[in-house]
Amino acid sequence: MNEQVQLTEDERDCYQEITNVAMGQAADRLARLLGVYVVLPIPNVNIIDINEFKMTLKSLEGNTTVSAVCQGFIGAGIAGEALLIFNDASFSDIAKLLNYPGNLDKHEELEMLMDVANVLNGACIQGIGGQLDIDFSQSHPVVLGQHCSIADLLNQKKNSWQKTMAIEINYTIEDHNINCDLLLLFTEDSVLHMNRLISFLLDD
Amino acid sequence: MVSKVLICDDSNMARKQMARALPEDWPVEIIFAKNGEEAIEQIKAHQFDVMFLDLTMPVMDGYQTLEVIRRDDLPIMVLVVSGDIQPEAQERVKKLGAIDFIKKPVDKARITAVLTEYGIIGEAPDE
Amino acid sequence: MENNDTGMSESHWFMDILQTIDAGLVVLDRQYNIKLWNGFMENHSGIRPDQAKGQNLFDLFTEIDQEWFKKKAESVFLLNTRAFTISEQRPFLFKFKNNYPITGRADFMYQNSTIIPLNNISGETDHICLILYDVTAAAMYKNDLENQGKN
Repeated sequence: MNEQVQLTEDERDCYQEITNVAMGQAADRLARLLGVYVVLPIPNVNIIDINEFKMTLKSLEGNTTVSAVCQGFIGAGIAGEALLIFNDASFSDIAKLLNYPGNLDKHEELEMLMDVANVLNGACIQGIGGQLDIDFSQSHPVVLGQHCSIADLLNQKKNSWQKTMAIEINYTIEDHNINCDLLLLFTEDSVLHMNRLISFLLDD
Repeated sequence: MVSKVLICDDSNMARKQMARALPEDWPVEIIFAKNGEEAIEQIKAHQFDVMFLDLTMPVMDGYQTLEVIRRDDLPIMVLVVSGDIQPEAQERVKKLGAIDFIKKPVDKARITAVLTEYGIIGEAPDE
Repeated sequence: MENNDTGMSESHWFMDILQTIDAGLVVLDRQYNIKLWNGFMENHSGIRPDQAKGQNLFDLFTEIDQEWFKKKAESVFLLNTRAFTISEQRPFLFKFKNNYPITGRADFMYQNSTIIPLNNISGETDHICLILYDVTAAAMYKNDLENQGKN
């Protein structure tokens, strides 16, 4: 794949807007689920290099106060992952909102994490799919570092990819100590494909 | 009689989509604003029939814009158009004086229905 | 009247489920032409059902070892019995990408499959259904365990 993946201002703006609408749908579901108000900022759209991404992973490695859940999605030539990064301090507040009893053990915490991640990831992915008329397949949520250490992920000798389009969304819940970062990561092939798909949205 | 419409959204694509969703046979002059600050400037300079206002914008967001309009008693009907569709958001904008809330992605039929409902279109021109 | 409606809802539900289920479903006729292609297959291959149907499986997917697959499938056609393929024998049937293209370690999707007979009214097996399972996670654990043993 020799075509360099880059974004024009128009394309960046388009992805930002598509994500904005999808985020809104995700926040709506979370808001109804938890009975809260979700603060929605403007999403950040960037093409990042694998080394920059590895820095993000590195910051998660060995950090016992942060957890990350990933979910893959694929459809119509577009593939990627939704990576939801939680601050562990958020756990007890989320548990309270979800009416989970008292102190959660590691097991229950994990399950709650996956459930919330699934709501946010799912709504976002389907929200984007809805606007592009794609019915994405979603894979199960997986806790990063659970099945293999992040160090192993970082130490892979060969890189299977070079660049990814990363859309970063930060969710905060008003009046609660809940803060999480959603990273939507699309493969290079996907970006080239999506740029073609959105060109109809950009046409005057 | 040509109506004057203000479309306020930080996204170029969203502004275009909003303009395209307006009724085809409606004689309009459209002015665009990229954020709340620009919108307020435009409102003070011109008389608009209606403003379509996004919520998530830099510099001055939709909520802040509505607050300024209310505080300064600026004469303009505001329809909020946003991807932020959570119940609380819809409630807040109505409390701040927006006459209605339209979900993104915008639907042409819904826009026409809302404009008709609030008497912004569909009246016989009275000159 | 009610029975009819329930029956129709049920069919509708089954259709929806088969489209969204986390497993690939491919129905093949005696000549290995594709007769059914579900959502999983569409999303992972990028080939829509209208593009897949009527095509020969081996023409569309040259990575499938024809001789090996036909041997397995023939037993299903002839004996009206199930057959299986496992990732330990062959890592995959269809070369699909890993479901976790960014954080995942596998270069492709490891697959198991079950091949079941589909019979016509006369009881003859004139079609087969290939059910494709993603077993990448399990394959990765196994690799990890084996590598640990080596160290």
